[in-house]
Amino acid sequence: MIHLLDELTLDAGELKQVLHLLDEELLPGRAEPLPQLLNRWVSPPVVVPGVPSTLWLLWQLPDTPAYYSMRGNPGSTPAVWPKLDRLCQRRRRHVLVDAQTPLALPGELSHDA
Amino acid sequence: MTLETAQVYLTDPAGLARFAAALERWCRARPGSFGAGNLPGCWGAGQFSVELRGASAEGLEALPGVAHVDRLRHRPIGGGLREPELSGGILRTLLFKVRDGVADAQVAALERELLAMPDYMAGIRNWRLGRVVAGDHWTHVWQQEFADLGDLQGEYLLHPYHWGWVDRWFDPAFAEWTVESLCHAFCPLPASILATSR
Repeated sequence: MIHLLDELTLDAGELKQVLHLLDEELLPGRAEPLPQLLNRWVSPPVVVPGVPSTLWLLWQLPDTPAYYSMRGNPGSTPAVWPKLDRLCQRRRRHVLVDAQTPLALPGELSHDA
Repeated sequence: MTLETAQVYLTDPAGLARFAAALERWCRARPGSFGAGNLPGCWGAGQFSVELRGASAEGLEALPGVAHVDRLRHRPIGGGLREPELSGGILRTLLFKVRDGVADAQVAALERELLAMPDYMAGIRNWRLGRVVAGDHWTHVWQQEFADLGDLQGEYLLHPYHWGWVDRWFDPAFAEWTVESLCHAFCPLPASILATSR
């Protein structure tokens, strides 16, 4: 199982518009529920002047082939992301696996031109 | 040495055999060149991949049945050989275009991470990354040689360093999105072409 965690830092006043974009332009475009949106959270749970809000979106994919196939879905088209970026101060997507998964290490190779 | 790579698009897939025979003769007249039909599963690619070392792909358009040739010259910026004697393998060519306006440091980071892929994937037997110096569209050529198709479609695609790390440069859903278009081609490789063109 693969999870994607989107971390969007934004002014609290933009939150409604960002959620609207997700609902109207991103989620309906999915050819199938890949990835599946599991949760969305915002923090802090109040508006604090001068402090940005952070929106987290947690998505789930069954496996690696599904990871690639989501790229072919209409919802993965680039159009919606620049719109979100204009409303956010910062955006990061994290790719997550189970914490007990053995992590691959790099070997030692020499490269040349 | 000038390195040139090309994707050949045919007017009619029924003309594959006729074109293949003509391409073989064309390559024989240009020592160091290589051409082969692409295998099923490519995308954004032509029907044939052609590699030239010290020769130009000029004239390829005149072969029978050719609709279009996407050819480009490139300058290697990194690579390596694990199995220079590789025979009967697979040549994979990824052509990609970096988005306009992307910072040089971001492009350099992408290049570093691509060149680190063999550190994680033993199935990449030989590899080379080049920057395009003459061509209409693409900015980079990323080539790998595999012993068999399973290493490309298995380890290479399924490794977490690929989908869980490097892929973010290619995915519009990531803030790091850098590559706007690509051509993924792979074909049978009688003997290493990367080992003979260093």
